[in-house]
Amino acid sequence: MSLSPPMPPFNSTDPTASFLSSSALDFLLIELVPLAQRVTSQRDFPSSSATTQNPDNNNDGASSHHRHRKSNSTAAAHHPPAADSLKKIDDEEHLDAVHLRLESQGYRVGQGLVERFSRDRPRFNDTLDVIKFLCKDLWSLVFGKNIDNLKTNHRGVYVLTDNAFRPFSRMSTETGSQAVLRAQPFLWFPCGIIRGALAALGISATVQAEVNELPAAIFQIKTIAAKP
Amino acid sequence: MVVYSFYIFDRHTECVYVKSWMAADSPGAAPVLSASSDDAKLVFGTVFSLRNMVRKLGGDDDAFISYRTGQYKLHFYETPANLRFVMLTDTGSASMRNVLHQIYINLWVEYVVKNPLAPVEHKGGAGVNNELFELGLDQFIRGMM
Repeated sequence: MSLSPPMPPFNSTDPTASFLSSSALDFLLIELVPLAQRVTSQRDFPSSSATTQNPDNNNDGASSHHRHRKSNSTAAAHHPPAADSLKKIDDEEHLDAVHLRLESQGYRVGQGLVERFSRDRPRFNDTLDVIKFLCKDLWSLVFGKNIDNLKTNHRGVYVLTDNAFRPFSRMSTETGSQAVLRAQPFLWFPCGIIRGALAALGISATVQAEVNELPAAIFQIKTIAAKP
Repeated sequence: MVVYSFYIFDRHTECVYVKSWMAADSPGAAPVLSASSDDAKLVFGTVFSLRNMVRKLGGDDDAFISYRTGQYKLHFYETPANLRFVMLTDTGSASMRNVLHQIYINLWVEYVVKNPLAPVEHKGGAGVNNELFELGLDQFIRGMM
């Protein structure tokens, strides 16, 4: 599975490789975020799913109608009109829960990807080697290009900058709306992929991502006391 | 060649996008179309009826492509997913079917369908009028004029 155009010979070393339209991955990555939001509001916040309804979470058909009807009645029963502050806390909790869900899904995917695509490589010497593998090999596998810039303070912090992050390349809203804020959840799954990939290669780390201007994304990796 | 206006209708026959380039033109030559929203409904009614009539007369494979009046030419393109693209140009322009197809695959699919922040259904035009789509369309049309 690769996002680059196939070059003959078609992977003679890898008989299990097959071609998949990169659009399939695009649509999957797009749907992942609203899916996580829906699952979170239905599973973890069943009583407040109406109040935590996200504005960009409106692309589900029958299930949403069903939930609307159901949750509107329950929400009305549980929340008196003066529940505004409660709602705000709920929103933040809900966002955190979505973050956790997406991050752990990415973690699982990252672990699998590394097992599959590092199998023909020699062992990595140090953390920087692993990070380079991540920036070049893994990134081009998942996002079709390399990381544009890698910075490190040589004390376990790595900052990866992608100036044209693939999930953001077509992201756009009408002028004046908060595109950057709405883009944030789309970074959580990739964060999980990075963390999972590092974990599979023996590096435990925390990964944070931010977006300042579309379509660029910045990932910060903080490794946690790597054992010798 | 002058492009006067451009419409997109979704599969629920709702007009999800309108753009007009008439401001730059001399008002005498442009067809008289006010900025009211009734225009979109009238345009849709016209192309819908014409398409049905064409199919009835010419069989299911026959496609309505364009019609021309003394003032303007209307170009029509319908995608397999029941999306309808309509463009009004001056009477002298050649077939715009290709152009409408290009708008569909290069702008609509890329910046609306594959846009993570655009909803699947564009009720009231939600998600269609995003910056990338607007910019791409304007550049494309102005590049032809």
